[in-house]
Amino acid sequence: MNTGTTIKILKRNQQKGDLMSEKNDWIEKKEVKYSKYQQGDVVMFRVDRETFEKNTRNGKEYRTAYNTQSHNNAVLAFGEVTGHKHQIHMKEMLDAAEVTLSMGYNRNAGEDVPEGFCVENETVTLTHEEHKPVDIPPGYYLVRIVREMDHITGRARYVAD
Amino acid sequence: MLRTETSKSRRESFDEYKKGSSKHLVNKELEWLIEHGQIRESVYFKGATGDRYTIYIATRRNKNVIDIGTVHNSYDHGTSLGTHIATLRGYVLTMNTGFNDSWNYNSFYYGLGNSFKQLMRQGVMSKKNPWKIKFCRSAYFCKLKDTTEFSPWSGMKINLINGTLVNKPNKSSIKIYKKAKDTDLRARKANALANKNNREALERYRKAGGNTQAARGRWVNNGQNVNQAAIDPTLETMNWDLVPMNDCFKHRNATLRSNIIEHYGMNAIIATLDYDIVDEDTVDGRKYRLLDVVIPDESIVRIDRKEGVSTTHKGLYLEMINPSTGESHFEGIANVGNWDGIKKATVKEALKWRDGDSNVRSGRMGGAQDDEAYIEPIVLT
Repeated sequence: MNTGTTIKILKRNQQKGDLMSEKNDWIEKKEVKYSKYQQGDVVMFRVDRETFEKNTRNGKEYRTAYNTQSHNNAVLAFGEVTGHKHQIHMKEMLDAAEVTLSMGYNRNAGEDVPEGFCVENETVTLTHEEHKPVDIPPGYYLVRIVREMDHITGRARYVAD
Repeated sequence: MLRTETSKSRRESFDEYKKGSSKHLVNKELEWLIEHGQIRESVYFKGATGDRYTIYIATRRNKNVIDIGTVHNSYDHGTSLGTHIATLRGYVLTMNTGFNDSWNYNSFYYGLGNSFKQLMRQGVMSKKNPWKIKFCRSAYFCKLKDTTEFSPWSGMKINLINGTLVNKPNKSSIKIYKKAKDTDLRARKANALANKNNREALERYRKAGGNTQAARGRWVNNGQNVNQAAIDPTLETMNWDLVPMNDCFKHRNATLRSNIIEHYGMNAIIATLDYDIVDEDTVDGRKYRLLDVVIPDESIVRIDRKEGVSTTHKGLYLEMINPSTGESHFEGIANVGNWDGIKKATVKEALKWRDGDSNVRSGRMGGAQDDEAYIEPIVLT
């Protein structure tokens, strides 16, 4: 994996809400190590478990397990425009393979969407109607949609596929 | 209010003066200080609405001179000494240069012009010949009753009895006044043209069968982005031949602009615009170009303090070859200098912004870009 650097961030004295306070202290933030996999507009950041749990907001209650027994597909991202899906076909995997989606509410989408996923036991294959398949090794992944700036309307938004 | 350590008779004199009507000034208390005040006697006023943290204090220095200064009073920073903003010699008010030159620069909203305006709001103004003051785009314009118009400057002298200037505006004031007037005139013309463009574009859109009202309801869905096609079926049925491509620069409504961009495609629109190639790079065998595109502003007016009124602005677009389909397409990138924009105009910085690398590292959804390098994907299809 590629490595980041140690980042020092300023911890504010939030109890008093006083930005001028001399009690501000610096804390070291742990570096985030990751590698990237990308299929079209979906970027998957492979991170450690701690980072994964910290960045997926809604915890275990929103996590949904997909396996060869219970599901055909695990959909990571759904194309609003084309209807195409970035998905993992579970039936093509070994029985032991399991993908757990961590769902979180997305205001732009107006519903719960996968914020991250966990692959266990076997490398799985992510497919899409317009892109070549991507092999995803076991690990913890954060899912992000690439963004773009529309200079004509003045809005930054996630790319609609 | 009067602040004095003198006898009770002085306070009675002050109170009695306030009962009658003033002769020259709107502010009776200051007029009392000019007419009857003794050395080191002061009157003070709290700032008007929007200027509540300022206290204005006028103190008689000697037989002829009264100094007007400020004290700032705020919850966060306590009480602090302000500036000596003006001097009164008889009924002639002189605006002074304070300890902070930049704040006294008359083209800043909170500069010398603002001090003059706040004094005016406190009634430090001729009763019979009142003047008007307003901030217009880049400078204050003060208009006297005799129709003289100028931008307040450091050292200006104004007679508070007849409301006339005692000295002439200096070169700097004249220059700033002329520039502000010119900016105002050009901005008004550009605004009128922008209004016309927007009005005509709306008419064309309606004639084509489009629903402009549906585009106004973006926030009705509890702040969520809504799928325009779902709430506006006319997008499928309207006659797009009646809506030219460059109408996307003429509409003020961003949703209508988006609808037109959606119909024609960003590639077709950028092909009609001028651009500079800022950077070219090959990442993992794929070619990228970063373009600085000149985008017309036909529905809004941009006014920059330094550059004045402009009719275009620039936007960065990343041209890329889709690795799977082989097609070339464009995606916008936040400009260098924006609060969450890229730090350098390079292809790799643009890719870093696009993928959100900095956000993953910082654990936040938005915010400024960090200094780390772009990390190439292990697999990209």
